[in-house]
Amino acid sequence: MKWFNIFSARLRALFRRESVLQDIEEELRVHVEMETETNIKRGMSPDEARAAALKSFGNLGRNTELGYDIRGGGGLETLWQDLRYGVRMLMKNPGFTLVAVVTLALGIGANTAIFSVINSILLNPLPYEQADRLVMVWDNNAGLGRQHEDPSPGNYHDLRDAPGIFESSAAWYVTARTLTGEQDAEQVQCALVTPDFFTTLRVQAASGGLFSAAETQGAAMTVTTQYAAGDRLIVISDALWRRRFGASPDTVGRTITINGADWRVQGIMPPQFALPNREVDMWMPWDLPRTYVSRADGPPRSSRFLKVVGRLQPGVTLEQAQAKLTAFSTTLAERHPKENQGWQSQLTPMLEEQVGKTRPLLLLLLAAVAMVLLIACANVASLWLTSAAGRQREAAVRAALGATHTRLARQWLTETLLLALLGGAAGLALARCGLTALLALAPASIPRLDEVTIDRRVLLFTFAVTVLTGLLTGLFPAWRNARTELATTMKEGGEKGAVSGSSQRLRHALVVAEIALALVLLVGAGLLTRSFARLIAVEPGFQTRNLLTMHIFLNGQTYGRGKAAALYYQQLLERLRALPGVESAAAVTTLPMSQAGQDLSRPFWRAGEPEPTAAADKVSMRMATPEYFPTLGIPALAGRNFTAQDTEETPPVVIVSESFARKVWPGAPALGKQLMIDYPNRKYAYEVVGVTRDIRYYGLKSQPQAEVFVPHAQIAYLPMNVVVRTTTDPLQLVGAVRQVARDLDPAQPISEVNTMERLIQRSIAPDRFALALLSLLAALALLLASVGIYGVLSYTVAARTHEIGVRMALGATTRDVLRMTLGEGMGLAAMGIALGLLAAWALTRLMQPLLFGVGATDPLTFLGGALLLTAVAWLACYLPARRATKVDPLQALRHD
Amino acid sequence: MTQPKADLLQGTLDMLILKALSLGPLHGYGIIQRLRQLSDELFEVEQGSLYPAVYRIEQRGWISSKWGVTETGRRAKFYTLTKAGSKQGAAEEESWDRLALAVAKVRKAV
Repeated sequence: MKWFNIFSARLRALFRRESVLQDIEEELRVHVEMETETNIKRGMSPDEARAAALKSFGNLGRNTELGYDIRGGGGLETLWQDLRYGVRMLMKNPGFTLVAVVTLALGIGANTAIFSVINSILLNPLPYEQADRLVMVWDNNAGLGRQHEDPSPGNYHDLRDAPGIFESSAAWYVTARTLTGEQDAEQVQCALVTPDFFTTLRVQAASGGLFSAAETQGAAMTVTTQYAAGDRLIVISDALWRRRFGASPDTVGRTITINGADWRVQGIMPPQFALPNREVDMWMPWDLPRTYVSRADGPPRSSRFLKVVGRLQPGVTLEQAQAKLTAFSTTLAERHPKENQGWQSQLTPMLEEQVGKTRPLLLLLLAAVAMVLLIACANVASLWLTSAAGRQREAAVRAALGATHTRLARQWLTETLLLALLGGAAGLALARCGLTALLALAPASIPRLDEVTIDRRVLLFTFAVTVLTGLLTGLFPAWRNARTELATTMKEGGEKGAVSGSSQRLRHALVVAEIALALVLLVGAGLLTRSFARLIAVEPGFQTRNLLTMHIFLNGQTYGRGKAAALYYQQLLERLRALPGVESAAAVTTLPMSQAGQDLSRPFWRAGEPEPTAAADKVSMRMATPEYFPTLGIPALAGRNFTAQDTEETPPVVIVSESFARKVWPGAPALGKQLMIDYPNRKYAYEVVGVTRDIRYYGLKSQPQAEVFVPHAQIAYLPMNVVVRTTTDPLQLVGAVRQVARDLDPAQPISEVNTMERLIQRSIAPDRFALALLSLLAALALLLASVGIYGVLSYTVAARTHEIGVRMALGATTRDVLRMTLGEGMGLAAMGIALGLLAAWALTRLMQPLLFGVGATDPLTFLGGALLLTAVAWLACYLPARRATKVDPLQALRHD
Repeated sequence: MTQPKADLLQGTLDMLILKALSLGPLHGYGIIQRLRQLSDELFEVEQGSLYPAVYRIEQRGWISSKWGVTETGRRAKFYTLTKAGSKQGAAEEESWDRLALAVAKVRKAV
């Protein structure tokens, strides 16, 4: 309370300076008069009385000052004075102010933008209630080299009730469903979710309601077909509601047709809800146990395809839960060795799951913008040093008039802080625009992008960075100016004192530091560039041009029995091949270069050997039509392709990839060998009839995988990807292809139409994005550093005009002067580059996770960066050096 | 009857000023007079240290000021004790008593 009174009193006094002073003076005067009166009463003469009164009172002026010290604005007033002075000085030098503010705005703005991204993505909890209690469950098998695999329904069924781990849990599986009705048939992503899905996440619908376990009892379905007793309730996404139902308010409660059956819309999710992913448009209740009720031993344990989320029990830490889960996994493995031996379950916090992969890139960007800011600060500090040098005389006079060192320093820092605040405000505005651009160009693989915003924490961060910048840039000049000696300054005439001595050394040090930092960024950008170049040079293993891709999810009700599915695809492909512009067409379960598609992983063993009792090794199994290999351009290495003769009635055959053949039958040809694959209802021997070349299925960075192919005619999988090789631009045929599908079955739309080249571009989009951003920052750093060198050298030349004149008068040639100036500049550059190379060597190893095919200390990149920087530095030095040669010795000598 | 140098601690002077004003509003000169009176002439506040102390007290909100007229018709600035001020005065007197008691105990012991 006391402090508040004092503060407000001083604040009030700030605005009434004159009247406060008058008040004090008058009061003291009255006091002296009263004392004079008393003295007169005591018998002194009026003059004596007054003199005595004044004497006993002390120095009137001094007392007024003391009084004003207490009653006046105090610290606030000096602050106000400093601010006004600072503003005046900044306005007097508009060029300086503009350059400094722009420099700081770039540095601070970049930091604000990147920090707000990091804040929203890495730091903020997920938008669920108590989101830090949510975990996802994964299975690992060290022995088989398998990591981060989906749990199986059988295992999930057991572990969800394991004591001491979950308060509640849910599983989901993303599939596709076809919507029919008034509009065209549309295929949408649909998540089958166990009833506790929404309650585990603790989310609410935006309108309508969600389904509970009770409401969805009996909503059993298999993964591809569906049949449900009782009310079929569906929850749809905000996007679907707007897109297909025109955001109509009567959508809740409406009946819609999904895969030919009637479903009632129970609720609509809010737009930000994006679990399992942003593309999912419907959440369908899934009574998991009921789906497998006909199976003798319950839900399968070896089919691993679920995604499981759980909410930890209150009070249980992650470590405790993990320990319990590990123990439980061991028990499961003992109980069911055939499916589970060697498998362990693992808990990962959901936030980590979603954002963990983006962390290295974001941290790299943060480091980069921090370096850019440091360079910007160095430039502005240098500017301030120059400004301080010019104002040395002013400082000396003020010191002579009684200003203390602290007072001078405080005034200086106020000015630098003022400038920094201007830069910070401009930077914030810049960051807003920059963020909008960043978010528009960022690849979709970066999670939580729609949550990125400038919130309170970001503003606080910006403020802190601004204040730090102000202090950093002003510290040295403030310290220097405060220690000015009046006599020496007046003698030297101010200006020249700055050329020699500590101020010049400081300037040099700043430039060296800038160059070093710029080199580090250049090397980083260079590494990413080489990395990206290596990436796009990777051979995928098949022909990627002119390939149209699409996804079809056959309705299980219509095509689930007999040969209907196989027939559908056969007919579709025939009709597609008849289209003009189509070279060939085929269908396959999993498409290369895309994350989508069913990756079936089944246990296998060599025929003739006993079935493994412990968990067997697994292989990715794909179903393909015979034209698959020629359409994609995958060469056969041995044996034959599938033919029309391979049908359900003929013996089961399989084509294997070369790495699979090498792994399973090392040293011997795989042709003719028999392979046992444990596929549901098709556990028998498959004969190897062909070996194909490996291709990179999971992206350019991935290793070729061991995989096996089975003719679609023999195992007719319902959801398939169709690939069409065209003679010209694939996208031109989209309309025709859609029409073919519509003619064949209007209730089977095609979805996710793409070209293979686009899919590949999408897979490398994150790398391209990282490269673009880091290159931008490196370019900015280079620009700022070159401005720095240019500035310092220009200043040196200007300040040393006299010296240069003397040298020239004494016989130095133009070349000598050029050499001297360039030498100074390049000397600084060389030191900076050396320092930068060391720093880069130490730091770039942290970038390794982001690099592909390039070592973090790749000497070529380091050399290239150094050369580039040398060239840029040389350019920046050249202009001031030339100016130095133009010095007229006569003029220079006259200008002492 | 020598007047001891008013070598007072700042806080003590504050306390005395508050006490002086608790008996009624005064101007600065009047405070010195009243303190002299109340202490039977033992006490003369150094004139130079009065006003800084008064201003400090006023800043903290323990006294308020207003320009008025003395009995002799002269214009002067009068100070009045505020509610917070009388509370503060009482608190300071209490701690002074405690201090005096402690000092007395120590003196008696030696």
